[in-house]
Amino acid sequence: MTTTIYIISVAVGGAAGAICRGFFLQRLNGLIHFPLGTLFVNMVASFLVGAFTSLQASGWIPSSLHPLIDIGFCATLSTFSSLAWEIAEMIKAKRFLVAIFYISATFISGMTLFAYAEYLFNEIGA
Amino acid sequence: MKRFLQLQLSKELHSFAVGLGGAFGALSRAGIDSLVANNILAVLICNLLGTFTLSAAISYRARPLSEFENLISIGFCGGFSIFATFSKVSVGLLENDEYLLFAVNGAANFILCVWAVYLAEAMMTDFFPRRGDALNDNMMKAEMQRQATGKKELYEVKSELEGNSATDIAPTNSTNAPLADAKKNQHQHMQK
Repeated sequence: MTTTIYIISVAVGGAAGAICRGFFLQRLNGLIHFPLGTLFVNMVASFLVGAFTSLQASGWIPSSLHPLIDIGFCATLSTFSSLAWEIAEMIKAKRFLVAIFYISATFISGMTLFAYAEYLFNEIGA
Repeated sequence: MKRFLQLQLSKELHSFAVGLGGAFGALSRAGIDSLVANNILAVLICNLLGTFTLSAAISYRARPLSEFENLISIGFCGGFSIFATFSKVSVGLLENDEYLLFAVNGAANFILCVWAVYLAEAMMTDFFPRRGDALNDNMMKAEMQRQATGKKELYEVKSELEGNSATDIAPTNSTNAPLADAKKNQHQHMQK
């Protein structure tokens, strides 16, 4: 694959992922006093990356789509900077329990969803 | 009708800014990925730099929720920092029985990134002590109201310019009625 196609696919995937993330953050983050949008977006991105990894390994999706879907879309859909900023805001507001809950929920369910998607789509692909 | 068109245009500008920032963030992340051979280290570097930039931008901003802030914070920083590959790397470490590296990686990402938020805020308030008024709650409320009601009426802007409070960015002559209108508009917008 040439470098130009690589750059274009990463940029297109990144733009699409950023717009999706902005949409979900705007809709979900103001609903309750907890950053639901960031959590949701990270979970969806982890699941998609897991699905894509196993589908690519079993040959259902060609590896030339890796820059577009994995590096571009899924990685841009997920975010760590908003997460860290929200944790810092929670710590500033002395909401330590909420911060601990938020960290562990994001960390554990992100990993679980990734592993589950990998397992699920491995079954389907095989 | 004119007001409606302006509102739509402003919305499109916002999403265009977010998309542009996301594309640049994704390209920079891919660049760092190709420069740094170690996958785990690349994720950590991207997260740290993205968090630092986000916190610096939020501390530096003069007007909250503008297009430029969307471009930098939601677009670039969000695209630059990454959680999906972080969970992928963590699961890979667990599968390879590298528990120590797994714990160190997770703790380093969370603790260093929260520290980067504080560091960026402290540096910004040191270097630009007159900025950072946007963290004020009143300004945030005023901006939300301004965005909910769309573009300001011309006479309102004129009176503000001619009035005594010309230097104040936040609209000081706001009564309760437009605020209620703004809240109603926002509610309808959310229901859509």
